[in-house]
Amino acid sequence: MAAENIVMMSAMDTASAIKAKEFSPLEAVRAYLDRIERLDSQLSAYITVCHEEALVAAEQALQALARGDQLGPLFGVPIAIKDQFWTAGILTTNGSRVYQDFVPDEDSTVASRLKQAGGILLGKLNLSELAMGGTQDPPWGIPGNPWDLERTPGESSSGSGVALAAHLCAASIGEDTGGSGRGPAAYCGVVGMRPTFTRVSRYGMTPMCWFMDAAAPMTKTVQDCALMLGAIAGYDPKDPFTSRKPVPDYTSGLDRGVNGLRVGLIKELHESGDMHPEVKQAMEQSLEIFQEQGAVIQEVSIPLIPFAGAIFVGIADTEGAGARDEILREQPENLDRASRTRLQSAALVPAKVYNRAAKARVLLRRQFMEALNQVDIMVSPTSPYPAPKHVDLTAVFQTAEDVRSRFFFRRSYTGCYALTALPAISIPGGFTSDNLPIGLQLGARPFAEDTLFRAAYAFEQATAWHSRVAPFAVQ
Amino acid sequence: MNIDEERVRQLAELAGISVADEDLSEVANRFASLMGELERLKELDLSDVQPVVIFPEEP
Repeated sequence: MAAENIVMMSAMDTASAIKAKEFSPLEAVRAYLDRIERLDSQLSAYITVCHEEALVAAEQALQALARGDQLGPLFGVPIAIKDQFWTAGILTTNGSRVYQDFVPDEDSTVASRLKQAGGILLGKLNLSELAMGGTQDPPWGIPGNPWDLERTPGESSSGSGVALAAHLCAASIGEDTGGSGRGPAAYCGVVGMRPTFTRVSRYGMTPMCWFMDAAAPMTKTVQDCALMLGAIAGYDPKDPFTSRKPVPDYTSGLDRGVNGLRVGLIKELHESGDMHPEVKQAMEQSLEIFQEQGAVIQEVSIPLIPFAGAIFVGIADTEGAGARDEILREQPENLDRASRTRLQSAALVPAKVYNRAAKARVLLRRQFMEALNQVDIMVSPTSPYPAPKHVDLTAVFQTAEDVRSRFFFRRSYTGCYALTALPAISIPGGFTSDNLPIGLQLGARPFAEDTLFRAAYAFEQATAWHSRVAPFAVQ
Repeated sequence: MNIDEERVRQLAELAGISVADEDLSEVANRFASLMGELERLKELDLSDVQPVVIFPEEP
């Protein structure tokens, strides 16, 4: 098969084709490495390309195939992971000059499980500094959105979204503390999931806010996302907070459809006057698609959701400032200005204010669980607007109101699921008139990832959004 | 709380954080906005809410 066709395939199809010997793991890896070599200088998706390691792993896969070994679900699939996950012997920068020489001596559990499932690591992906966002001068280049290079691919798993949209890997892993996986998925027109907190081990994943950080499978299709989550989920003694609940086969039953599924439209987000009109229109069309397939649409109310951005930042940034205290005191000059000023401002938050935010979080959780007693899934846009331009996103904040409108507002959409420890997925939900992807976000009860995949798959099959190719990727 | 650059400088000093002169304005804007947003939470009745860590399997 021609290299240009291999790179356009889903991870599931890639694994199947390799197992059926339609092409070899070596051909797959070479196809991606050549493409990275050709295109990534303009995209900055990768911080480190593991050229030699990937070729060695592909040779080993070839031998396993010849021996007739039992093959994992990701066998031979070229994958890439956010540079926030430790990889033994491979630079892990966390997108920061502070970690520019950090080489872990062991794998994160996520990296280890992906390898066990047969995945071949192509490299480590770019991200906003310390998985935060707003980095003004990224040390490894500004990741370009393949749909429009002047626009952001989203934060903080920027490289993960770019690499998928430009077909520089078959599947990837991002991280999602408050939307860092779902946001880039939405802006890049791909799939990204924040699993239930504790579903996936955080061992070897550099933390931002320990009780909200979650590894985020990011993929070209819903089926791939189910495949990737299955590979990394499950109890890990190295992270004693991981759940002991059995991990289902998320790829089975995807085609059960949504007939009778109760779909909740979050009233407070839908009525927000700040939502981009084409995003709102895409949302309404998405609801019609669910309805046509037999889902029952109803409105649900979560009165606290407009506060979620502030609650999220009040907690996550303050926790982050605490976790980064040593860096903040001893080498603030090595941080990007945006990270430094964000952490410094969060470090000044009084205890009583933090306490109030922590209480509001619990109240928000109650409201979510009450809503989820009425419906099976909830829908909203992943972001109230399509990908902004880089210059608008990273401009220095001029006033407090500027911070509110550019920083807090959009975080309510994704931060609410992080605050409440619930799973959510972003899938391609349409395009603006100027061909920018719009993300549709679905959320559900704890550990109801199978319901999310089922609904997302039904929507994906009923639309063609996921198969549209980014302009930059057509080369 | 009236938040200006001087107040931020004082708070940072108490917290043991060194804010560079060129960053002071941005830190003040960010802090004022964050405090302003969190101030809105005063409207909520949180009297019977415990600020516990949330795990997915809790009741």
